Parts: sequence; C-alpha cells; structure tokens
Amino acid sequence: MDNLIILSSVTQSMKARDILKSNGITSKVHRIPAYKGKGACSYGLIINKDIEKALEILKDNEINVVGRA
Amino acid sequence: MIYLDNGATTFPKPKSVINSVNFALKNGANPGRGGHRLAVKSSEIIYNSRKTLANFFNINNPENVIFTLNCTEALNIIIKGVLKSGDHVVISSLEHNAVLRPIEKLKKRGVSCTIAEAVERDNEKTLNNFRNAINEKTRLVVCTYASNVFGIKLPVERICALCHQYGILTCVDAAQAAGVVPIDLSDSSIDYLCLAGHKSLYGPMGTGALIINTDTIPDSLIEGGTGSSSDNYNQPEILPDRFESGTQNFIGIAGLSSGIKFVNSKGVLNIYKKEMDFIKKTYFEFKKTDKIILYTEEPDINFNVPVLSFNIDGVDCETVSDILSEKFNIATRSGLHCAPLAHKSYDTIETGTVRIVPSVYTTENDINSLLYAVNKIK
Repeated sequence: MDNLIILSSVTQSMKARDILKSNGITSKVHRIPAYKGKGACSYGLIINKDIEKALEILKDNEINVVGRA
Repeated sequence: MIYLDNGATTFPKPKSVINSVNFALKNGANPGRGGHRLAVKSSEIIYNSRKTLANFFNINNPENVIFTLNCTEALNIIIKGVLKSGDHVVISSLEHNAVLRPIEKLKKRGVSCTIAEAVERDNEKTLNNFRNAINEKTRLVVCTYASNVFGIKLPVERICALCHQYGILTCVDAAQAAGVVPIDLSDSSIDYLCLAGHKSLYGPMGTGALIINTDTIPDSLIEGGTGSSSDNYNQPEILPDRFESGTQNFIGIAGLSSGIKFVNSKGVLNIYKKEMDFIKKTYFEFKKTDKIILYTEEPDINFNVPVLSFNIDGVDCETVSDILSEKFNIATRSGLHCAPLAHKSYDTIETGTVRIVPSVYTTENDINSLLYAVNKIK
C-alpha cells in the first residue's frame, strides 16, 4: 500500500491527523512496520484519499514526513 | 481536616481528576509503544492532555509541552541542558531549592551565578537588580513567578523582556502561580515555563510540565527509550520525545488534563480573586494582634499570589503547625519550605515560618477556624 505516510513520532502523527482533519482529509494513526531501515518503531497515517494534497498540507504546516509505504 | 497546605499539593482533587485517574488505571496500555487499540487509545489521551496544556498557556504546538515528574525535573532539564562551563546564570533572591541546588552543582563545573534581589512592591528596583546582575557571559536567567514562602510576585514578563534585549534565555518557575495567575505565552518573553501539575493545576502528584516557547532546544537530561526511532542509538531530536524517555506517568497525565479543565471551568481569575480575599482577610486579622509576626506588606493581587507566612511570638513554627494539626485539625506547613534563599531575604532562616495556602475548596469557615485556632495558641 502506498497510502501510509511515515512520521517521526506518535505525537507528530496525531498532530498531522488533526491538521489534515481541519483541511477536510480523514486519516488514521497507525503503527509503521520497519521499512527499509526507516521508521523502525514509528507511527504514521493511513490516508485513503487525496494523499498528494495531504502531503502538501503537511509540508505547508512544517510537519516532517519521513517516508511513504 | 481543614487543609491549608495547598502550596505543597492541592487537596482534595476534583472528582473529575479522580475519575480520569481511575479510567486510566483500568484502561491504560503504554502510550506510544505498541500499535494495538489500547496503546493508540492511551496515546490519544496523552496527546489530548498535551493539547489541553498548550491551549491553557496559549501556545500553538502541543509537542512543545513536555511532561515531567514535577516542576523540579522541568527546571533541572533547563538548567542542566542550557548551562555549560564558563556560562553565567542569574536567579532571584526568592528561589526554591529546585533552582538553587542544580545551580550549586553546576558551580562545581565552572558555571557562575549571581543572585538578584527581589524587592517587594518595587518592580523597578527588582528589574534594575536583574539588569545589574547580568554580564557578558550570562546565558540564562531563572526566576520564580512567585515565592512559595511569602507569595511575592516577580515582574517576570519585564525581567524576561530585559533578558531578550541581551540575547539571554529565560526560564520561569511557575510552580506556585500556574492555575492561579493567568499566564499567556503567545506574546511572552518566557522561553521555558516550568510547571507543577499537582498544585493549582489540580493534577495528581508525580506530574509536571516544561513548556518550550523558543527555538533553542536544550540538551537532554535523561536518555532512553522513547518508542520512536529505536534503531537510532542517539536520543531523538524531535519534541517531545527528546525529553520524555521511559514510560511516562500516563495515569497522572490523564488526571492533570482533567485538573486543567476543572481550573478552566472555575476561571483562573475567579480562583485568584477568591483565594486572595482569604489571604487578605487572614492578614488583616493577624495584624490586629502584636503576638503574630507578619513579614510582608498587605497582600495585593498586583504584587502577590495567595500564600501567607507568619509566626507566633514565643512559639516555634513547627510547634504551631503541630498544635494546629493535632488540636484543631488544620493542615499547614512550617519550616524553610525548601526555599532557604527566600527565608534569608526575610530574615527567617533561623526561625522558619508557618505557611498557609488556600485552594478552590477553601471556605470562609475554614479561614474563621484558622483565626480562632491561632488566637488560642498565642
């Protein structure tokens, strides 16, 4: 699945989720499996729709996206 | 018991706090560690607690709210994380041992310190004393928002604004003020705000917070597991993980969030005015008799928080507290209150004082009972 955004911590994930929600994008906080050495013990968001728009919004809000899976 | 030792911790706690603690105990998995439903639910509770604190002190980023065990830990993070050998720090003459002791330790590692005298009712003189204490090596100023012994409020915003003119970082110990005095960090020169969760924020003991209101992030005090980037041998840089190693006091934090909501429901200013009225009444009644020794000027909401220290002439303070407790069922705290500097400033280092601090739950009857009891002792 390519709709998993990896973030640096559970706090960042929840903050990102709230920002996306206020912009009309639904997401769900999810534990990330170890992925190419990144995101071992990390959290992220599952986003089923408008993922590119979500990434733009997060970038505008200075949320550091570590990767995608 | 008539409880007037709220400067040590508030008692009782609101029902909502007790309910939150019970809920967390029954439903709590370790937040920020696993991916199962219970762990995520716990993480939500912690995150919402961060947001509650962030809103209460008016900052935008909940990740800048770092949960600590108490105000002492928050102060240690800043003092030890900011100051390096060769640095100079300025503190006030009213500081608690939570500030004084870490600095005493750092003095052995090449940090120097100047104490700026806090002048009661004269903010200009106090500010001038801080100005004169600063030198070219001053890296940090640490000051209490209000004395835990004598209730004197420092002009912290002006002190911090002065520091920023010189590029000096500022740390405020708000243990005795948060929850009873409105504190708004949105337009503030306070860089680091250190809080006790268990005093006027009505959270359980074992809670505190550090709010970082600057881009200058100190070195970490404790390193360990954060539930994030576990493949990295180094402590994470990101907030709040940098300062939250090991399992957090989840149950306490859940309670603290409810405590803040409780304070919001009452209104900080309403609490402040009510408690100050009790302190003023006590002061005025005490002043009528020569046998009661008072150390400060008449309490004023512009210059004080609701804390009052006194002594009874000819009776040592610990005996007064003992009689109040055993004979009259009134709880107070006597001695030096972990604040030798404050007592030195007011010349009570040899005697100590009896301290009373009301809370939201204090009633007019409680104060009348205190007055009756003190009258009987003298």
